Amino acid sequence: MSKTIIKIEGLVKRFPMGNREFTALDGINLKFGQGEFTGLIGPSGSGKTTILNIVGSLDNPSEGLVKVLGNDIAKLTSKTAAKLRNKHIGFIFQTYNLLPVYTVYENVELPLLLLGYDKDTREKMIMDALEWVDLLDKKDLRPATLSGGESQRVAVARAMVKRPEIVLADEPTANLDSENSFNILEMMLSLNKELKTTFIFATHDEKVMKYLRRKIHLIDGKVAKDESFK
Amino acid sequence: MLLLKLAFRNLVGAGKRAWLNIIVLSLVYVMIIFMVGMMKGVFGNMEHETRVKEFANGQFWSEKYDPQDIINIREYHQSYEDIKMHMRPDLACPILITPGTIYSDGRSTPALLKGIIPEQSVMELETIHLLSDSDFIPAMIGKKMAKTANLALGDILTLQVRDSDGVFDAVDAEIVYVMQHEIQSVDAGQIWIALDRLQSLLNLDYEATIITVSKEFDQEMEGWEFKDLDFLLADIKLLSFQKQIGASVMYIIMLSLAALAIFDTQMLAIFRRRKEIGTLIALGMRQGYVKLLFTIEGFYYAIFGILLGLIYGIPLLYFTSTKGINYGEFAEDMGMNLSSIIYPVFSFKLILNSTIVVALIIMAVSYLPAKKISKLNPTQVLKGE
Repeated sequence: MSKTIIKIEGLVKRFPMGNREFTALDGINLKFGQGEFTGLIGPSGSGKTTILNIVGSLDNPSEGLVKVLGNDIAKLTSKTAAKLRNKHIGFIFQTYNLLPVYTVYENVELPLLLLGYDKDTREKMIMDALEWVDLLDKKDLRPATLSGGESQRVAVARAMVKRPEIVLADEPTANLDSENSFNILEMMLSLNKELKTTFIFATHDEKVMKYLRRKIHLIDGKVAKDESFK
Repeated sequence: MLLLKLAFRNLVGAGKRAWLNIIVLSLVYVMIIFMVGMMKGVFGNMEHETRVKEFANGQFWSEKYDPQDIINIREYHQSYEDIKMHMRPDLACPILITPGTIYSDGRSTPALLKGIIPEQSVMELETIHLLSDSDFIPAMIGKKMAKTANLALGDILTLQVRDSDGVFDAVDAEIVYVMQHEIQSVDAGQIWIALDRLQSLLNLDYEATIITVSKEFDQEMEGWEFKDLDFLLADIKLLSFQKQIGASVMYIIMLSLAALAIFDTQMLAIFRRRKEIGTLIALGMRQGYVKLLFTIEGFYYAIFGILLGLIYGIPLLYFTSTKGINYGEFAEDMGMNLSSIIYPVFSFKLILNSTIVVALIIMAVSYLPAKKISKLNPTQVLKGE
C-alpha cells in the first residue's frame, strides 16, 4: 500500500439538533494512501460530506483522531487549519463555487495569491492548469458566461493549480450531464495519475463510481463496506 | 496588499449597486463640505461686513448706553469735549443717537436719528454724501429703510426730535444718498445726518452716544466704556455657533443615510455572498482575513466616494468660492448683515476634516457587518446556508 496520508480512527461527529444531538458519523476508521482515487458512497445524510469537511479541516471531530498529512485536525488552530487547506488541500464543489466577479484566470489565480507566489510563477501555473482542463481560450471570461461543464473544469483547475496532495470533491458531477461528467472524471483521473494527487469523492452518482479504484460505502454514519479495485 | 487587491476586484465587479453607493457618498461628502464652507462664508461675511460698516475696531460707549433700550436712548449721551482733539476722522468717530419721527408724504414713521461726522473714514459708510449741497439738512438712509418708509433719493421729509430740554423741534431734510449695502444694523429704521446738525438740533454740543474707533486709535477715554469686537460681535458669533449646531444635525442625517446605504449593502453582501465566504475559507483564507476583506471593500466606498467627490467637487467649490453665490434680494429679506454675494470658504482643514470624518464613519459601518463573518460556520456557508 502507498504511504498513508490520511488516518481516521474512531471518528464521531455529532451536531446539535434542538435539545438533542444528531450523530452524523459514528466510529469511522479509515486510511487513505497517496494517489488514491476513492469515493465515499452513500445516500444523503450518510456522512460523506461531513468526512470531507473534517478531512479538509473545515470542521472538527467530536471524538476520535483525524490526521491529515501528519496534522491532528482537532488540534489545529484556525490559522494552521487555513494553512493546511491553503497548501495541501484542493476543494471541488457540486455548485462549482466560482467567484462571480472574477474571470476564469482570476478564479484559478486565487489559491496562488493566497500562497504568495510571484506574478510570473502564478501565470505559468495558471496556464498549465487551464491547459489541463482545456480552457485556455476562456481565461478572460466570467463564470456567468460558462456552461456547467466549463465551470466545473475551472473549479478543477482552481483545486489543482497549486498541485495539492489531496483533492476533496463533493458531488462534483451532480449538476453535469453525462458527457461533461465523463470529461471531468477523465481529466481528474489523468491528473491523479500524472500528479499522484489523492482524490476523495463524496458521491452517489453512478457515473463516478465506475472510475473509482476504492469505494467506501457509508450508511447512517458508519462504514458499511470498503472495497478496492485494480 | 493581497486583500486590497481582492477587495478592489470585488468592488469593481460588484456592479451598479456599488457605484450608486459611491455616487451617493460623494454627493454627501461634497454637500457637507459645501454647507460648512457656505456657513463659514455667511458668518465670515456677516462678521466682516458688520465690523467694517458698524464697529470698526471697537466702540466707546457712554456710561449708561444700552443699544437694546430704544425708549431711553435719548438720555444716553455724554460729552467728548475734553478729548475732542483725538476725534480725527480716520481714527475716531463720535455718533449721537436719538429717537425721532419722520414725516413724509403725509405719513409719520418712527426712526432712529444718527449723527455722524461726514468726513469720517473709520467705518465704510458713504457719509461724505452728508456734505452735499442742499437747501435742507442732507440725510442718508439705507435701501431697506427707503423701502419701508417709502423714501427715495431727493425726497424731502420732516424730522421731528426732542431736544435736551424735552422740547420738540422739527427740521426739513433731503435724502441725498441711499446706501446700497445689506447691513441692516446701520440701515433698518435709521436715518443718518451730520453730527453737528444733530447736536445743534438737540442742544448737545460735543455730546455723543458712542465713539467708534479704528485700529490705530490708542487713546484712553476716561468716562467712556470700551467695547471690543469680541463683545460687539458676540451675538453674531453666538448665532454662528447655533447655526453650526443646527447644520451639524443635518450633516449627521445626510452622512447617516449614506452610511446606512453602505451598511445595508455590506449586510446584504455578506448574506448573498455566504458561499463565496465559505469558498475563500476553503481555499485557505483565514476567517479574520475574510472579515478584513469585506471591511476593506466597504472602506473602498469611502475612498472612491471621496475621490469622486474631489474630482467634481474641487472645480465646483473653487468656482463658488471665487465667483460667490448671489443671494440678490433674498439676502435683504433675511434680516441679517449679509452682502448679496456670499463667498463660501473652503479651507484645506475643512476638506481634510470632512474626509477623515467620512472615512472613519464608513470604515465603522463596513466593519460592523463584517464582524458577522467570524461567527459563520464554514461548512454551512459553503452550502449557501
